[in-house]
Amino acid sequence: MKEIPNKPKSQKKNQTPQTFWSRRRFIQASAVGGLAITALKVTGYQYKDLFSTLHHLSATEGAILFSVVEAMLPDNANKTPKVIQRHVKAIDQYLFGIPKEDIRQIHLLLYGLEHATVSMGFSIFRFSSLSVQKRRQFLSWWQTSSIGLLRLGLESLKSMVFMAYYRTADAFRSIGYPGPIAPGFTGPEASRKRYSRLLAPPEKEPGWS
Amino acid sequence: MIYTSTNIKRDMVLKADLCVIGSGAGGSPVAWTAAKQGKRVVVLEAGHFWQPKDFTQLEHEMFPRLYHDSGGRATKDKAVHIHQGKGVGGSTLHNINLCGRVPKKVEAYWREEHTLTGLSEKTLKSTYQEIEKHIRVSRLTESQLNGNNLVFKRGVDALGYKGGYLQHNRHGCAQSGFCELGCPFDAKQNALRSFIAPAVESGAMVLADTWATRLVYQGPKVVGVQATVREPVTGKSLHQVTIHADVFCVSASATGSAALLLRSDIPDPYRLVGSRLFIHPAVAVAGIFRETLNSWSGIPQSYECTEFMDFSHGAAHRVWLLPAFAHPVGASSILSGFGPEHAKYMKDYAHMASFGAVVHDETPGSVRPKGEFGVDIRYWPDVADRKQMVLGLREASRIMLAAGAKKALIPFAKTMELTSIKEIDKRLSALEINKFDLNITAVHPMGTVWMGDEPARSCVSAYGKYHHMDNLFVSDTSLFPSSLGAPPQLTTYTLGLHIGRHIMSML
Repeated sequence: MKEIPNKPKSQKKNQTPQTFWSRRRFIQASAVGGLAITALKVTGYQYKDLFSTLHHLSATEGAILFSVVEAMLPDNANKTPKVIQRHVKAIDQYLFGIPKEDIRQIHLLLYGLEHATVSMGFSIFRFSSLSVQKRRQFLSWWQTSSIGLLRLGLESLKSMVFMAYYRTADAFRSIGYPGPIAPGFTGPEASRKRYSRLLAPPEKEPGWS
Repeated sequence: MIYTSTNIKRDMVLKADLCVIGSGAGGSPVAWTAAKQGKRVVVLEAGHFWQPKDFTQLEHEMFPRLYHDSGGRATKDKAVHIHQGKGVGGSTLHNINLCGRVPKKVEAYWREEHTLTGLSEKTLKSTYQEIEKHIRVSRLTESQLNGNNLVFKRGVDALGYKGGYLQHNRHGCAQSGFCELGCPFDAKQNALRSFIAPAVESGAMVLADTWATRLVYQGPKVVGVQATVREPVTGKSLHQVTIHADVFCVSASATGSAALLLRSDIPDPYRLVGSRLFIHPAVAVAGIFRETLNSWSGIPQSYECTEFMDFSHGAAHRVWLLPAFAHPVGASSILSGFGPEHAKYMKDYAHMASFGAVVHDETPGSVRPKGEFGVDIRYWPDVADRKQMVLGLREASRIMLAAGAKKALIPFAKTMELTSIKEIDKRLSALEINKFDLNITAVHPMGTVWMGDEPARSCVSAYGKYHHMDNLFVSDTSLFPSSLGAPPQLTTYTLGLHIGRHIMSML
């Protein structure tokens, strides 16, 4: 059998790209790159920077909610990051009226959802790292789960997302809904005057005259 | 005058003849009765003072303003949503203006079980008449049926079911369809317009944004109520207010009143307060029609079906059927699914009808206080009431298809589509409803501090006087010894007037 000699060291300096990218090197590079992307998907959050000023949710929760909104909206909805950011901020604003205990449960829900894709064996990636299609698939599984808490979780997410979306002019247009019948209407004049008279001026303290 | 958190800049103590806690249908006639007789009346109201000019007709703005927990209040396990109002005027700011007296059989049951000395049939009837005149109750007519109600009536008529036009307390109505978000036209003859405003014009003082947290008592006498002024948007606690008065009337709703009494450790030797909560749980069926209905527009509920409404206690049929449509945020939350699956239903929004099935329930739930301001509501319909819900889904679907709907949609986790009446019994007869199967909503919490003659079996007398205290009254839906089986505002106003007159005999 003819022996294949090792390349002498002096010949390595003269390698071309074609010779550098051997099959072994290509496989090694792909594996490293894949691991890097996986690490990013496992540890990093896209769009987290958009949510540094939320009142009730952390930036991470904002990013998770972003991925929920993106998955739950209709296909014909405007899903640019700026628009979805507005939806997430609207949800955050809405939480002012919600009891603190319920807001704590929303924190748990968002983190729970984010990691449930891995813990429940659906994917090796977290929820927000999945494609929209995969996210919808996972949420559908929650929707029809025999576990009541998962169905409740899905409905809670849905009510927040649709509160944010179906308040917009775009959504109104898509369903043929005209919105307020009298935007900016300040009420019949007689009523306005009557109620204005009842309201104490800001500097007046309660007391009997 | 009406004061809000803007006016109350420090802790304060006020003295009055009468302190009324809650400005809704129960408390407002009490305050009005005393104020117009020259008494010093303070009304505490947890919600803000919203005027018609503040009603923007946008759900995301008005739910936080007009509803407790921004419309997200629910039972402890979140299985049933319970919508309750806040604001000067209480739930009458956002209600649909339905007016109905207590059904005869329900009244008979109340008298049989609890006697109700002091509230004779004659007194009740004459007080109803006074209230109906005061809040301008009238029966709606065919010209006031919107798209949703027209198809509902069409279906009821096609099936030969019993039905009729509803009574309302609206005057000068523009038929905008935004009743649930507050009327910008001030057409509702509600607690704010009909009782609170005149009470304030007679000298009553209303402290809005002011949450009563505890009654203080010495022996059998309540001597004061402690309250916290809160910022209306964030809920941040600002200042403390204490009201001393000769008489106190708690009108904070069936959940709020019970929670306040329990939080205050008011004597309750038979441990009754907070039990026997009834709510009229409701489910809905949607339908898609070929014709354009624009169901969001016009008077939301003008026609009812009473075919399955028997008011006898324990009756086999206890379901009230009527139109029940929601604006986009509400409707989208009730319909199943999300993404493209959900969008395919919402794209037919202009062709959509929706009917509700409200159960005259017999399940006794309970209320407990939660923290300083909240309520812990425990309620899950028992087997019998869930069977009524299934009956309601069946018959609402039947009416929908009889009216000509292309399909009826029952919003389970996976929408059930029915395209023929034959399918209804086949697919729904053996149905069981479990928690989180579909949206169950209630808007009429009742009971919890109910009236009766015997202290061992009731909490207050038929004059609303708490059995175990000398100067404490209750006036709201918590008075009802059972589910009412009718829209509660008229009866609540009526009992409020009756109680207000009795309180006057003490002042």
